[in-house]
Amino acid sequence: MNKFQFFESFGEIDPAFVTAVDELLAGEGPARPAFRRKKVLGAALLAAVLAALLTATAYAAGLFQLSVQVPQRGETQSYSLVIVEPDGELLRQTAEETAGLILHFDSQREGTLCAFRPGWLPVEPTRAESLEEKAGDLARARLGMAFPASGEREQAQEAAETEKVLEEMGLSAEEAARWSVWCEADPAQGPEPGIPYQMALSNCSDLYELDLLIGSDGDAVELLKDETAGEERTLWIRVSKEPRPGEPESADALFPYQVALRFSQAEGWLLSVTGTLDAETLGKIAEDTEIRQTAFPTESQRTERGFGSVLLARG
Amino acid sequence: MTDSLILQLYWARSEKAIEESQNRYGPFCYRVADGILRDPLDAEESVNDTWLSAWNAIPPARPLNLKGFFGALTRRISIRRLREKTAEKRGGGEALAAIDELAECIPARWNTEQAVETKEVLRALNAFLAALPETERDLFVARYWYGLPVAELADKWGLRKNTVLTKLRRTRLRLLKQLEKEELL
Repeated sequence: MNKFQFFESFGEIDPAFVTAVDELLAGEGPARPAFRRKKVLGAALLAAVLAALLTATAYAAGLFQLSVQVPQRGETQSYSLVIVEPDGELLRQTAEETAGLILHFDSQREGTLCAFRPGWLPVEPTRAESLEEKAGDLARARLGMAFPASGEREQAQEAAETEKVLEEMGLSAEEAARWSVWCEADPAQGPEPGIPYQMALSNCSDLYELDLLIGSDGDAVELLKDETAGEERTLWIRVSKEPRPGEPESADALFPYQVALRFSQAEGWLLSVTGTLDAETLGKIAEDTEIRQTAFPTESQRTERGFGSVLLARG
Repeated sequence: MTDSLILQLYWARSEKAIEESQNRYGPFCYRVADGILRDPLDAEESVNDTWLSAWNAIPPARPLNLKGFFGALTRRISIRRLREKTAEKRGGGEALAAIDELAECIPARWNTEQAVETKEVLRALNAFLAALPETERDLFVARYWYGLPVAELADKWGLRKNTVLTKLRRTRLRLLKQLEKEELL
């Protein structure tokens, strides 16, 4: 390996390292003070992210006195989603970049009953993938592959690693074939405050992931009201960057963080925590977000930096 | 426009994909190219070549991180251009200095007769970077990924030039030790 080849290899490092530096380089003035500020705020900001995520995930898990029943085959649950937000401009900013909604569905390839469509999003989901594909993403991250494998040998390596990830997640091949729908908000069609958006949830599996209910990383997402009238439920949600008591004055620096939690609603186990934080922090999140009423097996832990993950095998 | 929409444009073979890529990531790619080439015209050409390469690569590629994907393409193209310039003896001083410095981390056993798996090297590099303190990691990436001059790093990080040099040297030594320990032969 000569020096140019080595320098080129260095070019393929995890993009997370590269983009972190770009944010510093693109900013004005010396990077160091901003860096310090970010570090000082880190713990408190993480709390805000977790608050947002916990609201979303807890909602999905049926905590906080919300009970979301998994629909039976053929059953559809209807929701109205009302966003309470006085500043429309903030919400439009929020809808950009990372605002999105991820749900995992049990694949019903013959059936067509799986559906989820918030009113402001495009009719068709912008992306759909199976849990197996998701595991493939994790496998590539572990192998340090920036792109899907192309060579025969590389593909075999990726397949083997994917199998390992699925095993650690306690998923059979059949379970892994479940599909998720990933909707991303189009900034041009961003949600407007105060307008109820219809949302239908049909025939879901017991295993799903709610990544972010709405809002960018770092937004405070708060469920204000949960009203049920007949078969229709209305959720009132506030998306805010306003500091809460004990939180820093500005949450702007929160954007680098993104964490997704996956758990089994039926068994109450947190299966994995993935995100762009370091392994130690992810491990802490895994501990903090333990679903308390059940045992939390930690036999198999694997952590990585970059697209980090903490996988917790079923006991 | 979001990354997923830009990707959709590439997959739909819409030329708007290039326009949107330029709008969203043009300045970033230019910074990458200029850091290596230090020549505005060459940097611009590299960025244009990046969109062409992306057009050829997507589909079938479906990058998970579009910014990282474009950045890596720009860097690769810029290095290729730098090599051509070097062959023509047209300069490229600062990036070449960075390349030479980073070459200090190549274990002596990695000669041309002993092939080293690039993937393994990459895995080791990612693990090494992940274990570094943030400042050291960012400085290392800024110098050897972006090819930025030490003086610029010192200014940006609010450090003395000698401090930056020392941090980089120590990090290079750590990387050399790490790669030797990994025995990637």
